[in-house]
Amino acid sequence: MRPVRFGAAMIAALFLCSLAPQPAAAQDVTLTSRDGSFTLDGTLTTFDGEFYLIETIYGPLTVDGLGVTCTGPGCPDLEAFVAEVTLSGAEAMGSVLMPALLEAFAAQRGLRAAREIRDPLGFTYILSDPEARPLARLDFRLTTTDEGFADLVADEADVAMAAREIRPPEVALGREAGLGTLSAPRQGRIVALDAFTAVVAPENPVTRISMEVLAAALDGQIENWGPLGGPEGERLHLHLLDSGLGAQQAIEALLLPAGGAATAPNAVRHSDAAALADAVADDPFALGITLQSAVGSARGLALSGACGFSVPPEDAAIRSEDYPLMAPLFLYTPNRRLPAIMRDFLSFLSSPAAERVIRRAGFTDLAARRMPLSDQGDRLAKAITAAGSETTLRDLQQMVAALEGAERLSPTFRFRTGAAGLDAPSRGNALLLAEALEAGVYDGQEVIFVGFSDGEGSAAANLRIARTRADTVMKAVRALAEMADFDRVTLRTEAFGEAMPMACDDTEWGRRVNRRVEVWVR
Amino acid sequence: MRPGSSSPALRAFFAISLALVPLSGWAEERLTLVGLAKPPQPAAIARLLPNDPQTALPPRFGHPALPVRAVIPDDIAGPGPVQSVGPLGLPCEARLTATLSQGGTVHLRLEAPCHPSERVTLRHGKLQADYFTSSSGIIETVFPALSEIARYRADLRGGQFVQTAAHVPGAETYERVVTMWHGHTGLAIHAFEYGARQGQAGHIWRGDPRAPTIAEAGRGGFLLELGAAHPGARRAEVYSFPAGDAARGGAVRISLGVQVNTATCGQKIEAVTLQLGRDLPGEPVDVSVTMPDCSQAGGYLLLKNLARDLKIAAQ
Repeated sequence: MRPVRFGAAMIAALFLCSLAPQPAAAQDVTLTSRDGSFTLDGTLTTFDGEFYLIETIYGPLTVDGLGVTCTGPGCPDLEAFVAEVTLSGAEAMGSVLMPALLEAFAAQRGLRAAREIRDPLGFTYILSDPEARPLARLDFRLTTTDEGFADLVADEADVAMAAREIRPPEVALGREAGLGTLSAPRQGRIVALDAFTAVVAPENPVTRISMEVLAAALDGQIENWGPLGGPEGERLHLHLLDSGLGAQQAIEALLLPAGGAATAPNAVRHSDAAALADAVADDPFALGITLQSAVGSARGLALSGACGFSVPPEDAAIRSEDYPLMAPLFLYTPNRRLPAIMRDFLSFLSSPAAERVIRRAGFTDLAARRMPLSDQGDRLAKAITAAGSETTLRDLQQMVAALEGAERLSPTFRFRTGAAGLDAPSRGNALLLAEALEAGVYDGQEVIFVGFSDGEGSAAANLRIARTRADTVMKAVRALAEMADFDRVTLRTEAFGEAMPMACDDTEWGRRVNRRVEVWVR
Repeated sequence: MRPGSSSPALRAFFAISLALVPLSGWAEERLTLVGLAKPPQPAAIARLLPNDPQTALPPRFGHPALPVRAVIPDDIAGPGPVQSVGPLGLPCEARLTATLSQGGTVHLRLEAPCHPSERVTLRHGKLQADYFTSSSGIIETVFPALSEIARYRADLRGGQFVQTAAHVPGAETYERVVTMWHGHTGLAIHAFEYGARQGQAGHIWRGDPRAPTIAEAGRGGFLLELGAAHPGARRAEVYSFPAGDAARGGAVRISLGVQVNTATCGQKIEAVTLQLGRDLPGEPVDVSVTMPDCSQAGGYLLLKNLARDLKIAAQ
């Protein structure tokens, strides 16, 4: 929040500087406790609608406005307080998703939302109560993720909207600017999931594409439809987002070798994901890479691997992150107190009402869905096909017996490549699962953390690694769920190593999808 | 002769019986509505009777071609001065009828013989628009039905109003985008169906609004302009897409636009937007747009993300 400054306080401060030792004259507010037993004199620095920050002889103090009455010339007008918040960052998040959520939040609270448009990339929402008294002004600046973080660090914004996870240098800058640890779970949160999707026109016969072929098309090595299983010799018209957009940077980071290949020079570039999808829908020989939320009239392709697995860009696969090209959408907030209405809005974002809005706006929400074992038939069939000397039929029978009657929850835990730590969406999932445990959602049930690994190395070693991962995740969730009653819910682990792969092990992304801890409930 | 030309009491009786016989599913709804009417006092009835019962109403505009599944003539006189006879010698009492039409719309007809050439506000849910009666006090227009039991109300001068309701099956299977404003300049809706570009066949806007019959056939959406083209009038545009029986999945991209001209440049354009459909809160949002400066007069400002795109699933 950009603090509201009060004239009286400023004048008093200047007075103090010029006419030195007369502190009494500068005491422009007196805060008195409700029972009158305690008073505090000082100069009001800011008031955020709830808390007074005052400069006193004891130093700066924050005082809860509910517990005191304010007297003196510096006191703010409590009735006329309007919270001001600036949100800056990714257009992918600010153009549709955040307005939809804000309008739904306003409707739920019985507030009227008014939107003032300054220019195509800047608008302000004013939330007013039924008596038309404005309560909050939320300024949106739609730029890029990079600029959102820059605005946050420069104190030009209170919330950064990000289409990618914050990078270590940005966390360091945030810490220097006194914003706390922006990467910490309580400061950075995932609001919704989006995904990158390879799209074609509805009449194009191709239905799946491998990550390798997609990468080869992206860097211009493949220029016709033959290798994609389309008409041989027919030229492929590649459509990409502008290279300056965070989404395009993110897709290149996911598909192309680090610091490596440039993208195809002949690609048609688009300034937004929807325009790209519409252009592709219009051209049977076009292939584009866009965001799932913007696919519109084009058709998304499933991602396949050489061993026969394929993952469609559909809600269930995105929700469980079994789909590899994820584009989570984040909000980052500084560790200072935001105005009450903004904090309410942030907690609204993880409510069931917000989940509906997120789905309606074309994104995937974070709610845990239950998927019974019977829905996993395809995976089991693949597991049986892949069974051999290392994973025996007996191993599979044990696994099925262990999960009998249980349901898989959509949140799945995955690990950063080459590191033991959980990736960003998984850390968010841990927090959500902990909150659900605290709320007693799984009381009377058994929550099983099931570790799986990729197929590299020996089956015995993989089983060990899988067990360690399951244990790590369970402990992390248990530690976060401080308020949960563990007499009512049982947490335990299982591990099946490489027994049930989700993707092919012949590529790094496939192995990454396979290294996971699933959560099953019974 | 229709029941309406005799007396309010008789008319109320007919309305109830009409409601009770074939439309039991929503009879209760209908009865509540009738129940709102003040029971006519004998004196009032006498006063409302035409001097000469043979002075019949002018022939009604029939719509024999339309599939009339429900016709509910009804009128409930609100408070206000009631003049006995209009300039043409017709009884003063106003009546509003809603006749089921195509594409989730109704044909509204207001007869208000004692309110010739006057401004009337037609309201339906959160939707409202101003019209002007003809010299004989008549308004005829097509209005969308935003709900299956659709109530309409016409507000006349002096606080008087008349209401009616219609049963519009399937009204809620449409996805709708609404903009409303006061006066000449508001936000025009541009719907681009299934990837259509500017000026192509699937670009629906006031320059190419298409007809509700297109929607009835499940072939695409259409645009209705509501309200009179008058500086002080409340106006609206409503784009309706038959999502309930779309043959094809895909998206309808919605943009809202304003002409940048000498009247609008550098100004603030104010409007209300509303989106209705499955899972949508349907809450109105006040929108104000700061227009580009006058050096850009002659251009057109098209705002892409102000209204949400419609995601259509093939049925």
